[in-house]
Amino acid sequence: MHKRKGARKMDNNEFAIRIEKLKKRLYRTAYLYVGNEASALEVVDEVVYKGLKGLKKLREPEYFDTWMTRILINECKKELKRLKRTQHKKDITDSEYESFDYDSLPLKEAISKLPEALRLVIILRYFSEYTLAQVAESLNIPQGTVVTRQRRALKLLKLDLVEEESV
Amino acid sequence: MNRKEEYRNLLEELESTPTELDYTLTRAQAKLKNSRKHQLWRGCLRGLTGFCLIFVLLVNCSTTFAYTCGRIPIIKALAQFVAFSPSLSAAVDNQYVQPMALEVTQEDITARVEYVIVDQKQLNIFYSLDSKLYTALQATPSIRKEGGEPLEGYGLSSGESNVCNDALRHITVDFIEEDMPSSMELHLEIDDVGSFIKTEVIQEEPVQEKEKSDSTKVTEISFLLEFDPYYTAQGETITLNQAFEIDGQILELTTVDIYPTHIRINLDDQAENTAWLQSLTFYLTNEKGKRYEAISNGITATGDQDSPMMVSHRLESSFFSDAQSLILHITDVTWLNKNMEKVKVDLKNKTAEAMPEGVVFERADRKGEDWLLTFSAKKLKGNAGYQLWNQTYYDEHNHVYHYNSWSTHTRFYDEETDERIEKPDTFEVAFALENYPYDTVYLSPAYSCRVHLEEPITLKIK
Repeated sequence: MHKRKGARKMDNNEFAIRIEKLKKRLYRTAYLYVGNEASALEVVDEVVYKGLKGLKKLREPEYFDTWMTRILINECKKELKRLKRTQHKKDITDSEYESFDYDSLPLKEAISKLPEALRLVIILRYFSEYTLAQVAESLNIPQGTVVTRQRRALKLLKLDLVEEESV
Repeated sequence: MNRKEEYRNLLEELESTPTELDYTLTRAQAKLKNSRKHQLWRGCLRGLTGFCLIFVLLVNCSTTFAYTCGRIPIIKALAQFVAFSPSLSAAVDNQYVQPMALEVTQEDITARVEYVIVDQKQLNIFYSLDSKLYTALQATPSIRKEGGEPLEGYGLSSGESNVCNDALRHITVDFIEEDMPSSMELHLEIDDVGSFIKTEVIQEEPVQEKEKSDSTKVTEISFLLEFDPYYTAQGETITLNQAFEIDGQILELTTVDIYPTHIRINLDDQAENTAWLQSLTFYLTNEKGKRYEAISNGITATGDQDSPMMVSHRLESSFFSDAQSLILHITDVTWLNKNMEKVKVDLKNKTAEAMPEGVVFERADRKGEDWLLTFSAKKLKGNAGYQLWNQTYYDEHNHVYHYNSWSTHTRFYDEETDERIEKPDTFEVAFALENYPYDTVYLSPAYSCRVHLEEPITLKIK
């Protein structure tokens, strides 16, 4: 168990440097999650704005990437909710996804049809360069659960990747 | 192509990011700076089907106010909170406020509905969320009939963003044709939006362990709101049926509804008109010369199911001033020509058979399966941007599509210098036609022209 370290606040300059390094990863995650460029850009804009505005709430600067990723996931969920409401799109239900034919779809589309919990893990692990620990922290789930989900998702996608092949 | 090749190709595709991403921090900084003066009206409008709406995107700041000294000073906080709205301010000044004092605590979150300002057509709910565990809570509100049946014919908007714990939050519910029910259920879906950071390392756990949810939703809280019938009965309708000519078209001022929260100017048109009314620049004066301006926050006009005309236009209320006389002054009008309900756009050659006045077709870029369209227009006085196109578009077989998001920028990409440049009087709107395989599209303009009247039109209401 780590002890809480002394509070060191991140200033706007440090935020700018960190966000320059992180923004591409945020965009990739958002793009795969919400499925289109315009929405992904909008989400990233909102996330950077919220991060900048709420910087004082970040108590541990070393958790910056995780913190921004959690804001990103929330914004992506809100955007997806909005898109679903306006486009009347329905997710595949839990009872349907095990028998759904992911193999017949191009990879990008197949990922978008995964149940949300699996989709997030796959995107973060294999497309956005997050470590196992970072994914667990970002999603607030145990690392063991991340492993289970990525295994299940790779199987559904028929994507034969071993750990070393992830970016 | 096998899955591994697809994977590598997708990684390559993700390597290329849009140029707009380069300026995300600049936009965030500008937005933060601007948010001190203005709060983006990010409310969602829910519950309405079949009605077109126009609403204002940028509103005057309605600062959030924390309760500092117990519950007694809250009416003062409410007065400051509603300062952006002359109608709601007048309601508070005239003690036209129904106390609710409802409180529910669940999952370490306390939700309180303190007050409502309600009349025949509009409900304003003022509530707060507080928690010792969460510091960034966000509620998604919805309403239904008492007993859980869905309500119809209303629009619900909530503009909260980064509201502190125990600060006032605001929901507006507008009934377009139906009257306010005597009661309703308010349902708040409450999310933790990212402030809670774990500092402990998460231990490796057995794979078989029951999975913990990664949802941001913390809880759902419901309230039964029962309205004092005195408030829900408030509202007066003046019947006029007065025809008048404006910019060569004939309109009829049918009725004026005066509610405590707003005034509705209701108009009809004639089949012979060559354009549909979209919006008006107007104000009211009373016998003392006091002005009641157009609504600056939320819905400014509504349409109906039968035509693209906006039939009802809103102003701040004169309800509490007991005006003996009211005169309507119209200075500008915005039309949609009847031959411009749809316009053919050649995406490949970036040409259009017609465009809304002042709009420039900047770019049409193929992005995978999508088309990304960019248009620019001059800003209106005091407004950052406005709607250029409706969200419905069609292909050549008249199939209907909708786009659901768009972005607005005030910096422009200059192809010659490969830089973003600032044009202070202009804004750009970009939106995507998703999974659209064709090179021709029919877009729906939000207007065709704006006309400033040399001689303002004045109409006596009472």
